[in-house]
Amino acid sequence: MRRALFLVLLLLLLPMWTGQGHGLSLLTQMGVAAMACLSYQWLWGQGGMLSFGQAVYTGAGAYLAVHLMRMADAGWPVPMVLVPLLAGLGTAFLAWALGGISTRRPGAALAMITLGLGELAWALAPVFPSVFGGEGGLSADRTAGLSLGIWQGANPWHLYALVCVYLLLALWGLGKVEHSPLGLYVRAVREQAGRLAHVGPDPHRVRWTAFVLAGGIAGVAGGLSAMVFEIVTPEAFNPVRSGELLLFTVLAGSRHWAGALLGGALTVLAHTTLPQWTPASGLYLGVLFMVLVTRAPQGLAGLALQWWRREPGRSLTWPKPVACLQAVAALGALGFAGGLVEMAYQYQQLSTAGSVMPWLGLTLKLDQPLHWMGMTLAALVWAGVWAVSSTHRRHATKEAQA
Amino acid sequence: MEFFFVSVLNGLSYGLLLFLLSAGLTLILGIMGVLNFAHASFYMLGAYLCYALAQHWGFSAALVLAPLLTGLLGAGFEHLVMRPLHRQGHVAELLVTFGLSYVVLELIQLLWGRAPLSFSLPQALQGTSVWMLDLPVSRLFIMAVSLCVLVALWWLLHRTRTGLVVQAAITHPDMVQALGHNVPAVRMLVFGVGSALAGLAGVLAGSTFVTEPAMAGAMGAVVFVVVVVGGMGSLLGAFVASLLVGMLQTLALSWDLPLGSISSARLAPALPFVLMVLMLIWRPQGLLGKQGD
Amino acid sequence: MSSCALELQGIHHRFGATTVLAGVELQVREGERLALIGPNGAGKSTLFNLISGEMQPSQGRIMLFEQSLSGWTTAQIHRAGLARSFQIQRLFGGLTVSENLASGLLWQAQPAYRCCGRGEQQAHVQDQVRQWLAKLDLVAQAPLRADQLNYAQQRRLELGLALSAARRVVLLDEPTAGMSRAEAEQAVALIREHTQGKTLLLVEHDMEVVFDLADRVAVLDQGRILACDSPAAVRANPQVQQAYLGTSSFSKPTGCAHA
Repeated sequence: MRRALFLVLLLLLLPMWTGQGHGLSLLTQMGVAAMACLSYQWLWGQGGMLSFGQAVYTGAGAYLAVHLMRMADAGWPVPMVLVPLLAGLGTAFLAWALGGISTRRPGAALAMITLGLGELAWALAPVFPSVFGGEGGLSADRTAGLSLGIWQGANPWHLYALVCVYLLLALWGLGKVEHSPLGLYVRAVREQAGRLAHVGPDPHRVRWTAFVLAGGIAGVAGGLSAMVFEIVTPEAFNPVRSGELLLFTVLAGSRHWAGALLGGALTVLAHTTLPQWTPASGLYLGVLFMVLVTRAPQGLAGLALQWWRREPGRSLTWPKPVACLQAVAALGALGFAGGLVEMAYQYQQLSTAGSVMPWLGLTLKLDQPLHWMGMTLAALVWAGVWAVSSTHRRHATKEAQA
Repeated sequence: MEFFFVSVLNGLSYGLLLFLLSAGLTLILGIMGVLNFAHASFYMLGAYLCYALAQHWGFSAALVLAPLLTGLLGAGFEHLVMRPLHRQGHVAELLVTFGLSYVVLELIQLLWGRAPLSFSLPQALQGTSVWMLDLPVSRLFIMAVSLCVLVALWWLLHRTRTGLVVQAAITHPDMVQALGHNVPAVRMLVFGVGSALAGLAGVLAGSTFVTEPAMAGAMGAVVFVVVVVGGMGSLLGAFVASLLVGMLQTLALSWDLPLGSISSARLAPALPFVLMVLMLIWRPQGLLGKQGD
Repeated sequence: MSSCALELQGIHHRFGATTVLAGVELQVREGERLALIGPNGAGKSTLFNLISGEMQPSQGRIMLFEQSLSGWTTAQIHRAGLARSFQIQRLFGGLTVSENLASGLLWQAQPAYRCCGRGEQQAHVQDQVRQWLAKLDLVAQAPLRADQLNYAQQRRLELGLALSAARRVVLLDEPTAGMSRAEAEQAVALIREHTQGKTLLLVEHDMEVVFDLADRVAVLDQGRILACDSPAAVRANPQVQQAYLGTSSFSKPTGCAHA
């Protein structure tokens, strides 16, 4: 209950801080992306199903919503606020139709089958321009349709509120399911599918049901995105989207709904703000992903929650000198390596970006080989220092334990 | 008539190329139990490395060196990144290969840009041969190289001791380790060989078709379809499925039959996946896979 | 005359070119406790896998309460009243001990995939979970994850999952493996209590457990039933002694039907 209140407060306060305009628009997009991440978190974090084709369902939801909005424009009495819900229901039906073959065998088979279905949708969409609108896609108008007295499509605050309401409803609904028998069976199927049938439920049916639920939520996310952007193109089915959904959900953390929210925020930031800071944002995200998958599978939100829930009473003592050195060395190595990466990216754009690059107080000249060698050497030296100090710390800990 | 032969040849050569890729993936899947999502990235890496090497040392040297280099990179990745993850299970390994595919794509775009590279076969391998009708030499070259490599692979697996150990380690790694063989080294070897095969496929495809950052994504999904249709873990199944998919896609594209209001050429990219869905409904374990797999 | 709970008719099973089971005939009376013993590699686990639906036999039929199990999935077999334990435990590692037990008990309370769950049903199930925790001596471990338990605790949980999930027929695969004498006695008491009125098929290497629990003993060697009789008679059987001590070159396969 406390957490729910905290979340509602957060959703209310954030737009006050960012104000109307670009900030609010970003927040709205983050909410939509968070909904998509929520569907993936349910599928993967709870159900253990690693799908590489979830874009099929977000795309289907978007297209269903656009068609509904176009119908509203043509005179049908379609209540706008219910469009995402209707899109979600339609997508759930699609997930039911495709879920049978997708969920029969878990693990690698499910990954490949969902990937194949995603590619199939992506390949078929341009072939049916009457349904999918060809390369230009289909546009819609969210100010059309039944407003039921409360909805003003043109008002960005109303849009934000709509996204928030749907997000809260989805969180509440999924929370209910998590505590239900089905939720337990879904977690059990993730843990040990080979046992579940022996205690009763059929693992295939459990996975299928979870898949349908995730598909429905993804459809709602797609519907919301169609309302926000008022256009959808076959790009919605691009397998890159599926991959990104996986990337950001796993990166942010797939065990807790906070991870879904963080994942949504990261998705939007990675597409809008991060590329403005550095052209290497994709590379950094990929490397961060690999590091997290190997060292911290609980993701960024998981790490934060672990720190938040750590045992009280562990007083803050000064870390030992070796630990300090290790941290400084890590920062140093990362700083110089990052500088090299940035230099490489800028080198590609030499004609437009010029040959001088400021970096952490240094002025680097891209046409001087000496600068390149210096940066490489500095990065290697700091990396060496980090390696030595971490080995020393590991030996010290082993000795202390022995 | 000629057109028919050329189409069939194109289909066969594309199918063999697919088998080069899917054989490596099947071996890696068999011995490590994990789907290598970065397999298509090694394919792309092979093409780009060949381009870079050919500029200094000519195509023939690059043809040999690029796959070797790719194989070494693959083996290095397995040793440094995947071996410590083995304890954590298959999922962590799959995710890390997914991350690698992302990183490799970014690195390639960084080093070589986002536009397709103009990279073509040397003069001797272009054009059409006059012997056996007017068949494009490039396709014959692909078939020749693929067949040689695959025969060598079969011989290695079935006629050498290392091959026997590899086959045993695929199904009973613990037993093989208990018998004194170095299973982690075998894993590294198989991963390296699989990546080298992918790199070779990349060399052949990149020089004949196109070398661009999108090639990994396009090929990767089709290779997974081949593995699913052929049956996960079956090399013979992968062979049959590769030829099937290769012929199907090439013929649909070149013959351009009208199907209702849509031509088969427009449907060609979707056909492998349609085949996969049909196979999953009719025979979920694939053509030669084990039931309950 | 009590009916036949489980019947194996002419079971042959091959893995590729290797024959693991070569004509197994077995009849288990309802309410009976039958122990299956034999050297390693005799095919006991394979037999369990065939009965519980993990595999289909190459040849032959398995009858559960006069119904053929041919083509049945594990979930269907469970619905008919059969559950099993595993030699290498298959617990829901990331779930707590309570959740492990609840998974089977919830299903028995209502066999449906319900997505709204609070209410009397769940309270009743929670009571049952508490009872089982007490019986398995895992009350203190209830909030721990199953993969955080030590070996003995995991074996107890494994046993508890099988006993709580079985309505009519229980298959136990070496339930006391790795247990101390005292723990094994407790396990035997638990098994005896919870198989009253149910049929038990037990694979065991611990002969004391076998003679303590079993009404009859069947000996499986090289894929065939060598003997099937009361525990004392089996102990005295020369063929059985030979199979355990050395190679048995002529072992006439016998069926195992009740008198």
